[in-house]
Amino acid sequence: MESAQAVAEPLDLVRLSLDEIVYVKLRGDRELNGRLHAYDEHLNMVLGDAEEIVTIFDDEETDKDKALKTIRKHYEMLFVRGDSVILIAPPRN
Amino acid sequence: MSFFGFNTTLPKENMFPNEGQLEEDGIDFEETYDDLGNQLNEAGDELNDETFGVSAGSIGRDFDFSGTTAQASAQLEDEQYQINQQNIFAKPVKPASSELPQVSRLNGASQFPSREPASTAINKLSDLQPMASIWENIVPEKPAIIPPEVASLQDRLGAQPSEKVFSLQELEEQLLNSMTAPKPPSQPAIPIVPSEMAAQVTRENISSLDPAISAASIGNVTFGQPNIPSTTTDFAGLAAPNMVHPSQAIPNPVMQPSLVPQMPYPQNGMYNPSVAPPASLVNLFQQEQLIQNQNLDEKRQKLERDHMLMAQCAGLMTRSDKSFIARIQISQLMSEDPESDDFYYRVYSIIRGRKPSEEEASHFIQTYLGPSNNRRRGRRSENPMQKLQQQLQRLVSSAKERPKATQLSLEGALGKIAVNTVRTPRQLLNVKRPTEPASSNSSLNNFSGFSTKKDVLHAIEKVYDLLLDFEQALRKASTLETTDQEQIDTWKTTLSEKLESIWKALYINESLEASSKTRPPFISIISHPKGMRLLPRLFPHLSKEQQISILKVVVYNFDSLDIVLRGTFDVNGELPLDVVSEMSSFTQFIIPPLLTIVNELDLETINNLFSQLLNRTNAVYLIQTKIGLSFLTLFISRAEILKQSGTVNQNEKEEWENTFNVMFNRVKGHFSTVFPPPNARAYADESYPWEFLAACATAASSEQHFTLVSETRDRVLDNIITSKRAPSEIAVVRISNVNLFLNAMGLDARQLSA
Repeated sequence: MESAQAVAEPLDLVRLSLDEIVYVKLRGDRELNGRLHAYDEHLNMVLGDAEEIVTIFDDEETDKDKALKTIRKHYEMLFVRGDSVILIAPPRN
Repeated sequence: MSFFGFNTTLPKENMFPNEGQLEEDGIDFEETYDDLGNQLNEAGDELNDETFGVSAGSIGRDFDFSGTTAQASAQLEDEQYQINQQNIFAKPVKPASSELPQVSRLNGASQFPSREPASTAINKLSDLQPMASIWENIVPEKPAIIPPEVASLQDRLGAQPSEKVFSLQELEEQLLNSMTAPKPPSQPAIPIVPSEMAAQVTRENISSLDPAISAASIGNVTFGQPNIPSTTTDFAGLAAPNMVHPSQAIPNPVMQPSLVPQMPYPQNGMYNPSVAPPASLVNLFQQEQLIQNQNLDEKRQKLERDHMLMAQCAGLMTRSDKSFIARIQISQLMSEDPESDDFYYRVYSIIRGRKPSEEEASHFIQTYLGPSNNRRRGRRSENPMQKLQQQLQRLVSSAKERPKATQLSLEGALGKIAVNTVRTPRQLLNVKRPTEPASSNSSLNNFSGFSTKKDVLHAIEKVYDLLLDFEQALRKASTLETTDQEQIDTWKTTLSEKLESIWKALYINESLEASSKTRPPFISIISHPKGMRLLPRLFPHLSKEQQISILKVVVYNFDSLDIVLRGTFDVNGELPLDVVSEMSSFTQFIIPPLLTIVNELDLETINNLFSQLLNRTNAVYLIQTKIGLSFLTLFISRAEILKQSGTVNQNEKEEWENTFNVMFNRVKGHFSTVFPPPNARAYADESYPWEFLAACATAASSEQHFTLVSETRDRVLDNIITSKRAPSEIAVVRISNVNLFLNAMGLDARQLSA
């Protein structure tokens, strides 16, 4: 009853994650974990204390285990342009 | 009878078919030919003498137009020369591209005689063109010099080209001679420069050279030597100036010196000054004047050109057009609700200590209409700013009165015309939202606690919505008219209504009931950092009773708080990371507002709250948490302040001492646990345990003092000893922490170390 009213549109779910840590998947094999400070209807977001995980596939590498590399970067504050967002989710533990 | 013996009486209908025929059959040319030519009477030539005055037979076929035009042109040039002599220094040279075809036509010898009058006519025309002034500074006025090459050539030719016409063969011959033959001795008045050099000059510096020079050379060339290849071809490729000064067109070297300065043009390095003869004083003076005029002219011309560019679009709009546009622009910018539309600007101004409402209108006008507007209007009206402000107010009020239709359908138009403004952009989707207030009210009434985390988050967002709404209503105070009591009353009612709905959304009353075993909703709300942040924003607007209610909820459900539940150090002397951040948020956002209420409470309420705190929680556990200690310290110190102020009655005082003793006895034997464990290095120097001990020491009796000291002795001594080895800034902190506690019992760290 209460929760039915809470979600009038999909973005209301995102709103509930304000000031919480969220997981954001981006185009270009990028993932973000950070505290959601702000968002808008384009899914532009401001993330605080964000960690970016970039996955790189090296097709010249023959060893399959080494072909996939991840680069981790940390940002204190990050503006994410909405057009690259694939999904937003609560953090995966 | 006609002159030519035509039969003028010929019927017209024979020559042209009537109109009907024309339409039906078109024109049949066989029919229209009526053998008129055959009827021509070729006789009657005997009267030609009377008609024309000259016998037709005496007129030859060798028409010498050029000879006659040359004579006429000489006269014209004389006139032109006189005119130009008056204007030569005041009027700049005007080139015209119309010269080009004539240059290219040079090879036709029969054509060049007709050129001179034509060019003079063009000169006169171009003199009349005011637009040409925009070209003036592109080709700046310079003293006219005859290129020595041309002059010398002319001298060598020894001809007055304006009077004598050469045939093509003659010209070629002479040209060849001049190029092969040794150069004649130099003329006294004109500097002689090798012709190759001069040709180079004309080629390389043609753009910088005086158009008059090039024009003159062209003039001469066209006249005398149409086939000089080096110069004419170059000129043909360039937009050669049209103007030919007669002074140059008549290459009379004897006449030149007095008319035109002979000094080589100073910027033209190719003319060697040492070769040039000394100029006369008159020439020098003229040159100076020229340069001055030139500078002045350049400035004036630039100004004129700027004006011209600006004037291109001048006068396209009428006054009403302009004001219409201005009104549209201003009405878009002026907001009916500046509080929310300009939210960030306004809040920023308030933070900066400015009052936005005061400067609003005038600032706005200055920003968007600029000072020029002000200045221009200033001449006409005495108080332009006020006038404009009034206009703006009228605009805004009229915009308010008019209902804002977002669509408009015109008769005969297909579809609707959307009326978009900057505030109401074109709506792409029209999704109907469920009407929230009604349903949320019902949900409030039969509230049964939060079942999931999402419910809590939603509740927090709802409170934020309401709070923002309330704050906006609060800011509207600046737009209210203080004289209108009714307006103020309605505003106050709305405010209290909004506040009431916030209060409901916090579920304080439900939390106070505490009948169920579920976690109180308010505690759930403030267990999130964003929920904690609500409190300092909301607190000042709440009534005292409401504030105390909040304090009660927190105190009664103290052990439900996450930071208390999980606030003890683990075996490694560490706290969970999220608890640490939550704790810091709690101390930052929740404790300060609660502290302000506690500091206003009387002893009775303190007693009540303190005993509730002890009854509902495990005191031994409580003193191991930072938040628990902080709260205990809060109450004890407030009670002690009240006790020492002497304003409390004996009953309350005794009751307080009893409550304190209960607490003391419960935690007796555990006082050493108030400190973070020794391996919790990060928290080793926090002052909160010492504050608690100090508060206890103030409230305790002398026997209790003994207990306190004996239980904390190790820590006190440890702090004093380690401070001697520690860096000075840490040592200061440690000593002052110890002194907090010792001073409360009348001791000092220095006494112990001695």
